[in-house]
Amino acid sequence: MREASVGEIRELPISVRVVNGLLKVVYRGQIVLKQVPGAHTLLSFVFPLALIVLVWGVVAALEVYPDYLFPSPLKVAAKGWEMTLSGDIFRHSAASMFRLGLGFALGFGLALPLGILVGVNRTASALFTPPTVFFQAIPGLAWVPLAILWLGIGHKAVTFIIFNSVFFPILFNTILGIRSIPENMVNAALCLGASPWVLVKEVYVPGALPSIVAGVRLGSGYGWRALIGGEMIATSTGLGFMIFDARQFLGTDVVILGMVVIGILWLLTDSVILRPLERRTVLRWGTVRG
Amino acid sequence: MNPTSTVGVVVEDLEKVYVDPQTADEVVAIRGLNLEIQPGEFLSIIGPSGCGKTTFLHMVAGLRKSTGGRILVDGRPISRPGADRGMVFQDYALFPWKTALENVEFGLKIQGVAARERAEIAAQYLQMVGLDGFQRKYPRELSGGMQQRVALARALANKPAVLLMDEPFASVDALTRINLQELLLRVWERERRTVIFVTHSVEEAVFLSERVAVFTARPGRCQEVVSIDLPGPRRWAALQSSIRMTELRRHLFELVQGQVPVELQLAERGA
Repeated sequence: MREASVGEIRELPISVRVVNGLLKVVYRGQIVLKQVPGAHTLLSFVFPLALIVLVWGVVAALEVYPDYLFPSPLKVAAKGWEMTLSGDIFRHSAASMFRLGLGFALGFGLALPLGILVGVNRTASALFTPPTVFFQAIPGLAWVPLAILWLGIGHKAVTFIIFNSVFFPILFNTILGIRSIPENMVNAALCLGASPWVLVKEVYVPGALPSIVAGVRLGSGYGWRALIGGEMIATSTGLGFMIFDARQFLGTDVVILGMVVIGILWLLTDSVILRPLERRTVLRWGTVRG
Repeated sequence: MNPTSTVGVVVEDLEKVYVDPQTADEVVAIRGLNLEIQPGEFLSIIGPSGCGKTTFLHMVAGLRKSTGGRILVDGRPISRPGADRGMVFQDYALFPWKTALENVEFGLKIQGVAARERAEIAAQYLQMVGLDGFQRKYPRELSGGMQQRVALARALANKPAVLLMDEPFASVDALTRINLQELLLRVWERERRTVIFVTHSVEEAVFLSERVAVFTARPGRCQEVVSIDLPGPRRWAALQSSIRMTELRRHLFELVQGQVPVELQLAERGA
């Protein structure tokens, strides 16, 4: 793999794909990874979205549906400005992000050590694998009724639901990562005098890191969805609540505004935190099994 | 540096029986294995595949438990892996998230050697294996031969009394292998550790060793130990035309060949 130098003449690529935040360009018999050029991505990302907004605006202007059911982009933007000035948008976003952060911290904090234990220890694996496989099959939202009954309406219930969604992907990816560490890498550490704790710190965790990071990204995505769903039912703040509440007063502009904010917040989380994290580990680790 | 290791290895009536997970049959990998390795000696083990060479090495390292007999290192029976027995693996087993220098530092780091001191020691060993200037490289940026030199430096920097090598040069090309063999001998001449070197190459065993132990087919035990009376320092260029080398190679080859099942020999000749 190498970077093509500027101005180098090449044949046309067979395929171009974004993989782990890098541009993977396949030429005949050769693969080149490039940094995704920032301005270009932004444009290629924004342009299709702008097209959607345009179609949306045209359909709204035609007044096929009444304005209160199908608000125009301008009306939503005006609502957005109004709620920005009043601070409502920030209040709801902050509540949602706080819950996501808390639920994620709890899920990660428990899944990582348990995943290491199950990945390393045969007895722990026999004990924990069947129940985790069972509970993994239960969607986070299925916990909503119990969460409300046990923890009441509010932060606790929603955090619990997020925890459930974040926990399993991180747990399974940690186990997978630990199990795919080559045996001789562990043997080598043992022959250099590593104690069990050194083994965890210096071999198991770094060796499983690419897989753990993939689990973190996956778990965060699941958590974000569960968050919005949970907030619709189990609380009185947050973006999910904001959307669901607006329905009662036919506030379709607020609903769409909420959806836009949800999309933007997730894109930001993913592209500012999660994707760079993944890219950095993949780049630094290279192929762990090479 | 430390001249000659004072630690020998004594193997008494060693046995390894394991249960085949597929067939649930008992397999006797090693039985009645007796062997004595002198302090500071370079001993190679050759034998047909499946004779338990690697299993034996893993038992000396403490990575696997024997089912009978015992192994004494420096007079003490071993039960677990320890820094006194360093190991070099066929697949290098470097840590891909650490640089060459960090890999070599690993053993010193867990012993609690201060950062600056261990970096100095690690740099010395990288220099000794001819990798000066590659300290900041990650394993994936190095060729197979270079990775194995890092692995050798990593094992040596820990100053093990016994160095265990499991077919370390089997997966590099022929020219690199010759370079690595000569390098290993030069390093060993400087720091005479007790070395147990497992290989399937008769030629390699003769070139490197003071003595070569020939293992029988499964169940493995030591059939014969052959002293290699070639003068040192040994270099391939000088030994190519050595008559004594040819004789030793032929003798050992016949011993190993005798361990291959007769049906297989016939099949090979018929084909």
